[in-house]
Amino acid sequence: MVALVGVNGAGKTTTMELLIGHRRPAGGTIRVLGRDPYAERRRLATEVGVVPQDSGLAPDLTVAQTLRLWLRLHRRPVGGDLLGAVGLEHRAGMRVRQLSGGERRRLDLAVALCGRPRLLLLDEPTSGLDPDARARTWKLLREHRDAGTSILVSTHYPEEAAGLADRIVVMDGGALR
Amino acid sequence: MRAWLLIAGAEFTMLRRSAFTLSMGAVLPLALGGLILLAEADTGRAGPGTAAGLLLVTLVTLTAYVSGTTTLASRRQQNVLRRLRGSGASDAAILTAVLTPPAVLTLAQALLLSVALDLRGIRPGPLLPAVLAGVVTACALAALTAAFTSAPELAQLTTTPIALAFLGGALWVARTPPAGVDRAMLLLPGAAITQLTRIAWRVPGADGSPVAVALLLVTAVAAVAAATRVFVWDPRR
Repeated sequence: MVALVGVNGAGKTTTMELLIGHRRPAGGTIRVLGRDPYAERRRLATEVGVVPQDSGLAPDLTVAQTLRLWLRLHRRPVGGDLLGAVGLEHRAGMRVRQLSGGERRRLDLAVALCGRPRLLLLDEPTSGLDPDARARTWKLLREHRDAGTSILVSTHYPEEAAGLADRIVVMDGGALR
Repeated sequence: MRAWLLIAGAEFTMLRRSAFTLSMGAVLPLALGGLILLAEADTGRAGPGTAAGLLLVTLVTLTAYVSGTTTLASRRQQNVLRRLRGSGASDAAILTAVLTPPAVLTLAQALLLSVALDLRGIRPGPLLPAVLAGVVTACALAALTAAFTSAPELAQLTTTPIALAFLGGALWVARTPPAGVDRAMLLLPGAAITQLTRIAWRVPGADGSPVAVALLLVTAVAAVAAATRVFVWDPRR
């Protein structure tokens, strides 16, 4: 697990968007699991789980419908109780637009885990979470890391990164320090 | 295909839950279509074939084109399109899935209102292409217009030129004697749809069915090609 740490505006989200394939790099090359994330976005989608900064989950679907949709969109969906894993089982019938910011973030993580990803790219997955939810999220990420999933997570909480990541990369002004 | 079905199913669920979209996309066009039928029943001036053409163009314009543009702009603003691109679904599957509910709604409305029309003796040959090519053209133009629509509420503004071209073309043909409709007029999608409907209703003097279908499909292909080049997946700031 690698943590990308930096203050707001350091370039963490831009880096994440380049890795996710949302942006085309202005120069140089990027490889994610050996592939160009911009040109081979569809192929990578089966291997990479993403929590983008802007959620992008349909606001008028319920939590259960959202998860069902994303599980079915993957050819090898994960089994087990994903909603329970992120602590949203009691919100299954609620519409996404009715969730709090922290609850939406947890649903984002559940969606990212739907396709049994080899790699997780998480852009500030704990932003807006209360301490309990944050602890639960990190516990879940540790379990996935221990099961062999590679994880790149961006955060602006250095103490959080120090306690959990195997390696910390600091970004400042768009460059790695 | 599987991704298209799943995303279209989710879109239908969201459509059912949005009172505003339902009223703008379903009730308003249906009410306007009903008014056209009532006016024709009262005056009989246009004739049933021309009235049916005006009705069809109204539905295609308001439900397929305007609602399609609004829905696409809304999903982009909500970052839904961007997120779906990370699902492994193709761009074509995502776009067509989002446009499926407005297209199906248009077909359902056309079917519902055609119950009010006497369809006995109608030629399905020109009518089916009028409906299907009309809906496909409207959806393709919706994808193109959405590229220039930064927010769903701006769709009322950005759809106006093409909506006027649809409705204006229909009215132009409606006011022209059937034999006087030339190929240049049929370049307007609304004109082609109205003329095809008149041919289906066996309005004396109305012809040019293959040309009208061909021009509708050329418009659709051109709109799809343009939309593919200019469509923006990220929210426009």
